[in-house]
Amino acid sequence: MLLHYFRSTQRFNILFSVVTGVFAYVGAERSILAFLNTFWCSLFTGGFLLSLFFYELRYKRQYYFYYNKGYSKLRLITLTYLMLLPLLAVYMIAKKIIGL
Amino acid sequence: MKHLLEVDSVQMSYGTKELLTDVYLKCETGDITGLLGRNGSGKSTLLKIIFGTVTAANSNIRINGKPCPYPYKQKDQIAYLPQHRFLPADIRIRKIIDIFIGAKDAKQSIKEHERIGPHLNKYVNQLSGGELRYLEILLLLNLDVKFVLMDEPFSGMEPLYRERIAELIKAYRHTKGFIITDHDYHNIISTSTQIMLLTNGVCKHIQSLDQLEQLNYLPPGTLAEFY
Repeated sequence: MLLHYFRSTQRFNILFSVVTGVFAYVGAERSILAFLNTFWCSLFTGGFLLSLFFYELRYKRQYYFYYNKGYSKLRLITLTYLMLLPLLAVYMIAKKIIGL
Repeated sequence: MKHLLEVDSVQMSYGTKELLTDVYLKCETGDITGLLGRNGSGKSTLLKIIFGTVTAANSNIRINGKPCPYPYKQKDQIAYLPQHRFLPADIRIRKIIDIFIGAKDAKQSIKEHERIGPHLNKYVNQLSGGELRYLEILLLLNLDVKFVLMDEPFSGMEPLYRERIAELIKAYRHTKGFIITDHDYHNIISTSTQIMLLTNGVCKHIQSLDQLEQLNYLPPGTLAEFY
């Protein structure tokens, strides 16, 4: 149930964050670090908020699918945000190992 | 086991318009409460207040005597069928059943249902309006909840599906209480065990069908067909 909401909202977030990352990559003379920093920053801020905004705009009615299973909107959003954190942790560890 | 849902002192305004002034209603396991009312009388809003997704200026919702201000946040209390479709369109019906229904036997019985079985590999937007409404209702009825609120379950349905939906509701009556609202008063009257009329912001218990004409919900003479 939660995974479905995560996938539905975060598809846009990931795509949007990759696009902003690509812009940063090009703008910073093809710096991979600029891409990664911008990608992660967008994933947790603007991209995340925009994904929720567009979900609200397009699929607002589907919230009743989750409400009927006891998930409030706030709970869904909080859990989705928390589900992104392990991805960030993996990135930070990888970054340390690689030495970026 | 019998359960009791009580809703009282519901007050709700939109701007200067007082929509609900002092609503009281009660529903027990086995009850099918038909909630009638004219357009804009606040039926849908009242159901959402009971479900907990709309906050009223004042409301008192109790289940089995215990205050329950947001019943939808507590599992196994209330399910709600909104007027509009609410199932996700990006996954197949088989998957929807898998993630929405917890109990294994309930999952299996829905998948083997004669009217759902043939559509398991379809997406909800490939179903007709009647098939989709039937699926939505069947899913909600298979949740382990005490009460089910239904906003216009018969709306826009062909007569055959209206009959099937009414049969479905009656089949689950022994384990749940229902509050149903619809403009299709024929089906509400024939399906319900008690009828309430929401008028001027309050719920009036209809003891005799004549009251629906006396309270200007139905034009005079409409009820002749029921006698």
